Amino acid sequence: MDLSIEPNLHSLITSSTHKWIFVGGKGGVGKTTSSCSIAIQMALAQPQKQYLLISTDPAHNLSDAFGEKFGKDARKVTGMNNLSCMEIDPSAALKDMNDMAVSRSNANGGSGESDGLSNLLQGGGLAELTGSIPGIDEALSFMEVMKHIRNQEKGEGESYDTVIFDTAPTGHTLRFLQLPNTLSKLLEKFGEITGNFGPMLNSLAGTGNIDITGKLNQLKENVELIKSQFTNPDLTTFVCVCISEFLSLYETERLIQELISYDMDVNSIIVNQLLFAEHDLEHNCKRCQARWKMQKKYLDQIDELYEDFHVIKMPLCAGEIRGLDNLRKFSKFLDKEYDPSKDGEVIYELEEKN
Amino acid sequence: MSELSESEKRKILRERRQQKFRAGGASSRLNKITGQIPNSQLSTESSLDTTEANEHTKGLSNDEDVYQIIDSPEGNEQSTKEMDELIASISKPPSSKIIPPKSRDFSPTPELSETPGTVDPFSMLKAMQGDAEGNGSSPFDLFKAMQGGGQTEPGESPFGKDPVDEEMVNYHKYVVNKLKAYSILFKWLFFILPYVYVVIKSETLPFELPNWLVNPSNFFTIFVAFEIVATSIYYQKLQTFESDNNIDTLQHNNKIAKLASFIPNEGLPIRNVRDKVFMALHYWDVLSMFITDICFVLILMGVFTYI
Repeated sequence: MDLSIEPNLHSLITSSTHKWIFVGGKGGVGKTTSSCSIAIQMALAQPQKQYLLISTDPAHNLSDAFGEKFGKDARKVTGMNNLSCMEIDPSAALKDMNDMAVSRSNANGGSGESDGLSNLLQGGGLAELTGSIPGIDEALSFMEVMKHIRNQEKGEGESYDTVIFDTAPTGHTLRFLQLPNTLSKLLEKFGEITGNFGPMLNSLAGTGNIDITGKLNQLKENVELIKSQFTNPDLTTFVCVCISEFLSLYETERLIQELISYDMDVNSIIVNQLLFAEHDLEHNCKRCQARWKMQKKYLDQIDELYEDFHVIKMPLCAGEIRGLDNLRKFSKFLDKEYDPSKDGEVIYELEEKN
Repeated sequence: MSELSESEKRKILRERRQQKFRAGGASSRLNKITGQIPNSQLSTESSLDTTEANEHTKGLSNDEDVYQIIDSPEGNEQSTKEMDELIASISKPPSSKIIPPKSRDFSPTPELSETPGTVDPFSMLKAMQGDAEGNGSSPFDLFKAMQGGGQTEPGESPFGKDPVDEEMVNYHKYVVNKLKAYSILFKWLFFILPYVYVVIKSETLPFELPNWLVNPSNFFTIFVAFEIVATSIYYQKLQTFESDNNIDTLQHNNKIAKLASFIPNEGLPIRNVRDKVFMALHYWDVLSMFITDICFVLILMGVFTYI
């Protein structure tokens, strides 16, 4: 029986079951680079499948990472037929909702300028009001997930085999992942209320065209479906990204513990920005040696604490990893681990391309 | 043994990982990390360490022992044995899963020394704001609060956990009720009952008592004097309990006081309405005890007159 754990993401990259992959960690550790790399490697390994990379971080970096503009609608990455990207933009989504409300108000015979509500909406009032609600980014990301599930069920729009989330720093992400639980409980309570007052609520809805109970039940079903999918290790996994430093390691451990408490699968840790200074004698410096010594101390601890995890050690490159070509080169170390004695030149190749 | 599928291998490894986080392992892992830095102020309390896990680790004297279990070859052997059992029952769903704690653990009878102090509004604000960078423990604290899915316990504020521990309030209520019951019992049995009896039945007594004591015209003076002394002792004792438990009895036991706490002190035609209501409630509390005793006296008088 082989239970050995490879220090790479080969099993995830070639996985035929995973539908949702979350990539997260502390701010500034290389989440976007890692999520782009995973997405690219998966798309390359299984060209028959469609992949979607979604950024749920309010401070989007996907466009910068690929060097092309992505928006709130999924768009294919230039040079890759089976990988699309999108950046969830709360303000744009809220503006759309605001515009829809305005057009609906006008269609219902809103009395133009004299209508107070219409006036408020015309100025983007709804977007302004809701934009400041805490957790709105997470809620919109969650809506996006629900939309994709609905599309897959109905066969409408573009459907994707795997969705990779480039998440916001830890706090935001945990809020997002907790949403199915919170919503499920909330809807359960709503269900009890609508069970008693359903007909009354429906009649209050006005025309009777809106079936509130039905809509709530449908929403609840969707939320339950997401909840069950997020806790199924065959369908969902979380890839933690960190750097070999004290605070990052501490936060990674806390993140993993929180994820386990949500019953979510987490089995991979990408350790970014490693210097491997002893293999780089040509460009060696005192500061690099000292820094590498410190990194090694935490690496030893990571190896000890996470012996049952896929720990992927990624090198710090000389330049920024931007553009599809650079990302492709860098991402191959997720599939086959980086060997500092053999793969050292890649670090400087990336610099030359920049 | 037949080759394991990727899914089965994943399941076994997942179980093996979870085992290491169970039974106090989560906190000791955090301890291990923070141990790298001298004087680290980061919290090592883990949300995974449930009561169940605490029971499992009962008997372990300190974290060192937990490390030994995790790191020792015996621990690994045990883990391997459990793994073999798991593989044997691979088709079965996992028998256990880690349950996130809903709240902090409190002992059934709280220690007076563990009473919570006043709430630090800055720490509450910090927890409510959430940290975009996820630094520190505030996002996790926020999540702990969200674990209930917005459900609140009776008596708990819908905006978060009540600053005063509910368990402690209940304990305080119990202590105050006990004090009240004992003081009434003491007053009625050891003063009012014999005193009313000697006043009403002074002629039938086999022994002589001072005239000022048995004279009915002095009854009200003596009774009121006793009431003042008894009430003073009662409030003295109550204040001791309040300061020990750090709980204001009136604010937690009285519904009117709870409602009055919502009244702003400024901006109304009458200033300090809230304080005035509290003062009135205090007076009413004293008066109600006095009225109760008077009622008891009247009943006794009636009973003794007809005996």
